[in-house]
Amino acid sequence: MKKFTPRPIDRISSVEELVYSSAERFGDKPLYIYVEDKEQHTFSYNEHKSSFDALRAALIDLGLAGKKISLCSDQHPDWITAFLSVIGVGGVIVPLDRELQPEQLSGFISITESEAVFLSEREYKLLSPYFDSLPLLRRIVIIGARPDAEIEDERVILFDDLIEKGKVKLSEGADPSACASDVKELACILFTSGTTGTSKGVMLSEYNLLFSVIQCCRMVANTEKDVFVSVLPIHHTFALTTNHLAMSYLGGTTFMNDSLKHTFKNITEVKPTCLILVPLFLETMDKKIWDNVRKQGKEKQVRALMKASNAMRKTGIDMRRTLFSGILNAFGGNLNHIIVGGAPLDPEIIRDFDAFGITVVEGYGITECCPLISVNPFKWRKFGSAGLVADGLEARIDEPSDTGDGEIQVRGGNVFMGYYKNDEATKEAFTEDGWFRTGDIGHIDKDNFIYITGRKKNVIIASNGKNVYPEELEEYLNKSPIIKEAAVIGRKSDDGVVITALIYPDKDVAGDVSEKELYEKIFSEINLINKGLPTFKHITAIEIRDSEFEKTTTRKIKRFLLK
Amino acid sequence: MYEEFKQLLVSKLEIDPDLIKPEANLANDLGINSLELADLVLYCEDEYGIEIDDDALQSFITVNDVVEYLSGLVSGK
Repeated sequence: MKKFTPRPIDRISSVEELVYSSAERFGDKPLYIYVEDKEQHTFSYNEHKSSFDALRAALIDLGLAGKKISLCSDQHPDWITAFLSVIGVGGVIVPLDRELQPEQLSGFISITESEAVFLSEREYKLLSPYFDSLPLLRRIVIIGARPDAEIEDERVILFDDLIEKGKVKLSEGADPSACASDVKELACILFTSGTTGTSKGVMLSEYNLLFSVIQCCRMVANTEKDVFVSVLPIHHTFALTTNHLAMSYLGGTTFMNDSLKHTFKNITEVKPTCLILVPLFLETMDKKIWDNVRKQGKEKQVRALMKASNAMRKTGIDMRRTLFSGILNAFGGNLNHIIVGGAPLDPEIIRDFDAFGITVVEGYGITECCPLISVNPFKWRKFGSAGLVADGLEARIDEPSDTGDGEIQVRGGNVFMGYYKNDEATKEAFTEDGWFRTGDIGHIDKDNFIYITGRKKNVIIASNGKNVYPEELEEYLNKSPIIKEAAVIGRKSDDGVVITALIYPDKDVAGDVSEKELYEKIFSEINLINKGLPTFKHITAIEIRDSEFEKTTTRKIKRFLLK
Repeated sequence: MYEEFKQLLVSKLEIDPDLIKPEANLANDLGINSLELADLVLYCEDEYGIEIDDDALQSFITVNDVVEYLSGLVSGK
């Protein structure tokens, strides 16, 4: 019988221990390789520790210890330093999605009462018209590449200058650990969607984050020999905890992907051993593989080789890295496994990658759990399962049906503290006996593996793993005069989930038009809405209806009737 | 530029040429995801010697959006 024992890795007590312990063990080894001003740079474990100390000293000196501070930029080592340093001085870090519109970013900075913000130059330019409407904002720190021109705003300071300031303070005897707070207090707020009206702020403590980091280290098989290319947005908890925090604690080196355009080129050149991805990437990689194979007229040959290779593996002979070297070389040649989460993945793709010599390890998580709930252990994978319940977490099924399916509920050290300034939502999120309701429907087998079969909440999971909240899109749609009522659903298709708007038009506003003209008018409104949204939230289909939606007594659309 | 981009969609992503029209929605009508679009854009950068801003990718909804953007960059070279 197969079984799995989590790796014996001790828990850590603070972000300081996370940074110090890694620097002690891995020293001058590159933690990050990144591109800035078109040049490649490295950032070692020791440099990380030095920046972490200096930034903490500088934040204390500026009176920003214990304050709420927002953070928004593309991935860069400064981002991680800022994230950990704010927590390390007892503050609350608010990472924001850089794909949001400036007014939305400004809304989040405002409602979190952030007193400072870390921004890259791009985000600074976008947000600068809003700074005067944020009276609490005292400091704006520009991270990443140095801006081309001098910025004339006394609140602005460059990250590098702040680090230098911190180093001076340290040389004068400042204690960077002086303001560390209780690890069970609020340390991070992550927002679930794009508007302040519909978004919920997930409150995480330092304890939650560190619990999840160690949980992840115990469950995966990665070591200091691993090289990663990080392609997921850094504020995404899956990327943040798994790739940036856990893998750095294990001693890996991560190449920060500098652009979505360069993803495949970077993977080929950097030759990663492991990738942490959402299904969209694997679907695209699989499609690319087969497109190339077909173009070379070798589909039959490759399929026959896969069959033969799979049969050989059953006898203990593994020739995959030789037989499929052409395919593996497109991903650098060293890619050994891929950790995938965020959305369901077609098991056929897992089998394809497995046959070529790349092990796909599927997991399941949710922002409210920092995010890890379960993952398939490297040597004990179950196809179709979202994995074994993570070490230190308990999972149960609420009111199971005849098939054993019911809502998945969890309890453990990585479960969040509640929603920011939203007691009602927090109350709804937990059962009376303190278990978190995930909103996902599924069952758990005798080995404690989770199988997800549906969703209770309205959220649509895009294939890039990001959540799309129908309420947010409906808020935009309802602003259009031609739309009387709207509801957004995710329709399943062969290509994944299609975000579909169900529209009840206002025919008085539309005027006397044909059905085709009405459709075109509504679609042009939707295209305008889409232009202001990140691609994964684009509404790509509409269905026009002749009657109003059926509603509850409180005038809410009965979502369960939507088909 | 439209014909060239159409050819690219056919050769790189094996999209049925009959489906490709200026007003075709990249995601819904042609099934192109953001990663495939990013990959195509990189190819166009090399092919035409231009640099396409990452943020522009987000504004591409129809075939025509891409064609107009590419035409603007190529003619401005």
